[in-house]
Amino acid sequence: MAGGSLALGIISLVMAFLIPGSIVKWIGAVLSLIGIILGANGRKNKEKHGLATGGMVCSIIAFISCIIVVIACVGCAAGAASLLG
Amino acid sequence: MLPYIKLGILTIPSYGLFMSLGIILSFHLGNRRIKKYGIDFDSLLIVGAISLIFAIFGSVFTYYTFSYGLIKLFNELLNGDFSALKNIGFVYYGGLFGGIFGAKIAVKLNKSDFLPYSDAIVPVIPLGHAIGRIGCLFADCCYGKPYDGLFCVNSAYVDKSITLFPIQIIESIINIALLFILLFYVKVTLRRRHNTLLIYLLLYSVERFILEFFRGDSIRGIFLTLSASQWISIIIFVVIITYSIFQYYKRKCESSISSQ
Repeated sequence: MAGGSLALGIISLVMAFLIPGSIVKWIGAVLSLIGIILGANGRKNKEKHGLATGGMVCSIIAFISCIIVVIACVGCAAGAASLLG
Repeated sequence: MLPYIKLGILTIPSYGLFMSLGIILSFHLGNRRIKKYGIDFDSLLIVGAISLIFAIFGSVFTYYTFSYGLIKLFNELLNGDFSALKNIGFVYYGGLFGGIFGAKIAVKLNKSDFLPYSDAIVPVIPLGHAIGRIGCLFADCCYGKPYDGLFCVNSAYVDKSITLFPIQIIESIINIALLFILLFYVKVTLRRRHNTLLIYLLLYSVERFILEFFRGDSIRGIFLTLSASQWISIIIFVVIITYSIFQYYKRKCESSISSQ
């Protein structure tokens, strides 16, 4: 679990910062959340605590970065001009 | 207003920034509260992450169902047009119920009781929501009806000559008030049986029903003059009141049986 968390954390960091495309960022956000879950579970094992914490931190940074870059409330305002003329 | 914030060479979407800030601050407040409920930090992370996954899918699914149209989406995808997936919208109710469903699954997998999580975490939901609504103000979305009184605002998606009701700010302020109401409620009823989630849903359904009358964006879907969110608010209100009345009489019967 700790190794999985670190792997997902690194993959999601790459998706967040290096690969363009909003769909890639969405996939990165979901992968980073899975990385957080695996990291939090992995921290219960004292031998792999450091590795799991590293994976968790990478996943948290990737998640926040993906959310900041990709979330845009475009859908909320799509019908704007037609209503108010 | 300011859909993008420039920090040196970085151009940051303000809505995403405020949404992230809302998640971080809510999580921080939740982390400070969990200790008195016997919940550890790692369990909070697991429940929070699973809730967020379901919240994202719930919010997006609700948007495509009520605002965009699932049939329209499927037709576009079958024709190879993926533009709808690039401009994703969100519906708060979809995210809320998706998050609740995810939290219930996570707590069950963790073999824990849901009520302590509800008391610890539910009060911080309005905080994240309030900050997210400020993001809506900056992104010019979820705007109000035409209004030229005090604190009126403009939206980039509406003719500049038309000023709008500052519904985002109003909703943000009401959500902060809801935060304090829930914190006070949990503190006062600490030794009695209660369900903070039901209280939040009841209060939020009333808030949302009323505020929807001041919203000016029509994409949310209108049916018989009420928006989709207003119909959902009515259903939530009726279900919770019915459930509460049922629980009250059930407890009354049980206490009368046990006293005999």
